[in-house]
Amino acid sequence: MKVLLVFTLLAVLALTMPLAGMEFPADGFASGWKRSRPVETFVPTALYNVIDGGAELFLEMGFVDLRIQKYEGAGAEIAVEAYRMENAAAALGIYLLKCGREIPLAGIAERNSGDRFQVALLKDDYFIFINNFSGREELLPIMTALAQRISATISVGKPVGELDILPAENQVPGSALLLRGPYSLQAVYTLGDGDILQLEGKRFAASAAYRDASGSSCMLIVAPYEDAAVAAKAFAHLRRGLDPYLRVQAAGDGYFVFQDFQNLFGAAEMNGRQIRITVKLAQWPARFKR
Amino acid sequence: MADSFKLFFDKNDIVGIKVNPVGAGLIATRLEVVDAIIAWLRQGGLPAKNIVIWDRFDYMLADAGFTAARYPGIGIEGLQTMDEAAAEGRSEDDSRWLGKDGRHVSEKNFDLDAYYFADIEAPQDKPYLNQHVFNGKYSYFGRLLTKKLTKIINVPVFKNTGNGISMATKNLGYGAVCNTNRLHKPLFFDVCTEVLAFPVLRDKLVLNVTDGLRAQYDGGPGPLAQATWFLNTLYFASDPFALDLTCHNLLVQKRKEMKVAVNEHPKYSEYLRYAERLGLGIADPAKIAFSQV
Repeated sequence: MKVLLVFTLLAVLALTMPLAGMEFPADGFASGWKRSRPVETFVPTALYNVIDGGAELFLEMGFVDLRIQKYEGAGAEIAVEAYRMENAAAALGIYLLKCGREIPLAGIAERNSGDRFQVALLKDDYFIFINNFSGREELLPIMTALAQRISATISVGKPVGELDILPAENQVPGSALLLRGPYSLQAVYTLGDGDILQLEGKRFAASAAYRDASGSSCMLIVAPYEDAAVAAKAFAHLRRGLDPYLRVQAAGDGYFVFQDFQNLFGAAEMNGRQIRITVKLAQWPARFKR
Repeated sequence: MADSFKLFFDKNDIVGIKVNPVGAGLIATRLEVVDAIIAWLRQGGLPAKNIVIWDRFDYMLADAGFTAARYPGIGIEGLQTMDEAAAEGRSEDDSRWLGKDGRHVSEKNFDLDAYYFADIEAPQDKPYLNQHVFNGKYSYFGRLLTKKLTKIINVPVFKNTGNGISMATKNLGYGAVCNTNRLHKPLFFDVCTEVLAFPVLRDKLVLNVTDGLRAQYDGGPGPLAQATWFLNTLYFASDPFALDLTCHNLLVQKRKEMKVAVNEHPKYSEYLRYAERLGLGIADPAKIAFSQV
C-alpha cells in the first residue's frame, strides 16, 4: 500500500512539476544519428543573421531566442530550429502565420504541420521547425522521432484563448490568425501605415475568413483593448491614418464604411472595448446606412 | 544558342551570375540552372575565367553548393565574409571579420565611390557590422560590380516575401550593396527600384532568369518546405521589372489557389510602377509580352 502511495505521489509530482525547458535529443536518439555541431543561439538582435528580411514578424510577435541544432546520419543532415516566444499565444501566432495550410503528420501528438522537407511544431512557448532539406522520404521517421523527443521535454502550457474573440459561426476552418502589429496585420489586410491598430506588440488581435450558406464571404479582424477608452483612442488613430487606397463612404458615431482598391467594401466599428473590422465584402454592409 | 549569346555578350565580357543562395538545399538557385547558363556562355566562346558566380555572402555561396570544386575554373565570389560564430555569440574571436584597425575585413571589397545613400541610421552593434560591413548611412556597391564585371545575369528564385515577391529586383537590390538591413523597414521594396537605377547595374544587367523549377508561395523569404512546389518553369526577361510584375501576379494567383491569406494591396507592387515612372522598365501588364515556350 505504501509503495503504491509513493508511486502515485511520484506520478502526480511528475505530471505537475514544470520541465526544465526544451532540450535537443542527444546523439543516438535514432540509430546512426548524432549532433553535427554545437547548438547555435540567436538573441533578438541577431535574428537577422538567420532570417534576413523575415525577422521582423518574429520580433513583433514576441521572439525571445532561437536555438539551432543540426544532426547528421544516413548521409544527410536535419536541422532543428527552436524559436522560444514570449508566451504560448505568441508561439501560436507565429505558427499560424508560418504553417500556411495545416497538414499534420501522423505520429506527432502535438499540433504540427509539414511534410518530408519540413515539419512545423507547436508546443507551449515554442515554435519549432525541423528541416530536412534533402527531402528524402525515408528520413520522415527521423524527423518524427525528433519531434516526439523534443516535445517531450516541453511542458504542457495553458490553453491559448486569444482566438476566442472571433465568432465561430461560418468561420472558414484553418483561416484564423493572431496579429500583434503591422507585420502580422499585413498578412491579412492593409489598413494604414505603421501600427495602425495600436497593438503595440503587446495586444493580440485575431482575424479569420467567413463564408455563409449563401456563399457570401468576408474577413473579420477583432482587436481587443484594456477598456473602451483605449479602444476609442485606437479607433480614432485608425480613422486618421486610414490607408489612402481605402475611401470612406459613410461614417457615424463609432463606425465608418469604406471601399477598397478592388471596389470591395469594409466597415470598422467600435464594440465596447473592441474594434471590429470587416473587409472584402462584395456588398455594402447592410447594418450601416449608406 | 550561339546567336542568342551574341545578343548579350562578346567574348571579352566578364559575366557575373548573381544567384540567390538563401534557403540552401530547398529554395536556393538550382546548381543545374547555373550549369546550363555556364554551358551557354562557354558555347558562345566565353572563357571560364571570364565567368563569376557571385552573391553578397561567401558562406552562403558555399552552403548552397557554389564552390570552386563544383565549378572548376569559374570564379566564385562573395562580396563579403561574415563570421557566423561571432555573430551568434558562439565565439569571442572577431579576428575572422574584424581587422586590428576596427574595420570589417571586407571593406576593401566595396567601392566607396559608388553608393546608395539613405538617411536611415544603422544599428551600431558588432553583429550588425559583422553582417553588413558598414553601419553608416551609405550602402556601397561591391567592387566586383563596379570594377570587374562587364555584364550581369541575374538568377533569382521564384518565392514570396510576405505579400510581395523576392525575385529579380530584390535579388540585386539587396544583393549588390552592403548595409541593407537598416533599409528593410522604412524603404523595403523601393530599394529594389532605386538600387537598380544605378548605372553599375542598369548598364550591365542584360538578362534575368527566375528559377521556378521549385518555387515557394508562402513563408518567404526564408525556406518553408510545405509551401514549395515544383513549378518546373524558368522565366527569362531582359527587363527585371516586367519580369517581377509577371511573377508577382502569378504568385498571387498561386496563393489564392492554396487558400493562403492574400493581401493584394497595390503597395506590394508599387515599386514596379515606380520603376516604370523612372523609365527603368515596364510594369504595365498590357505592355508586357509574355510568351510560353
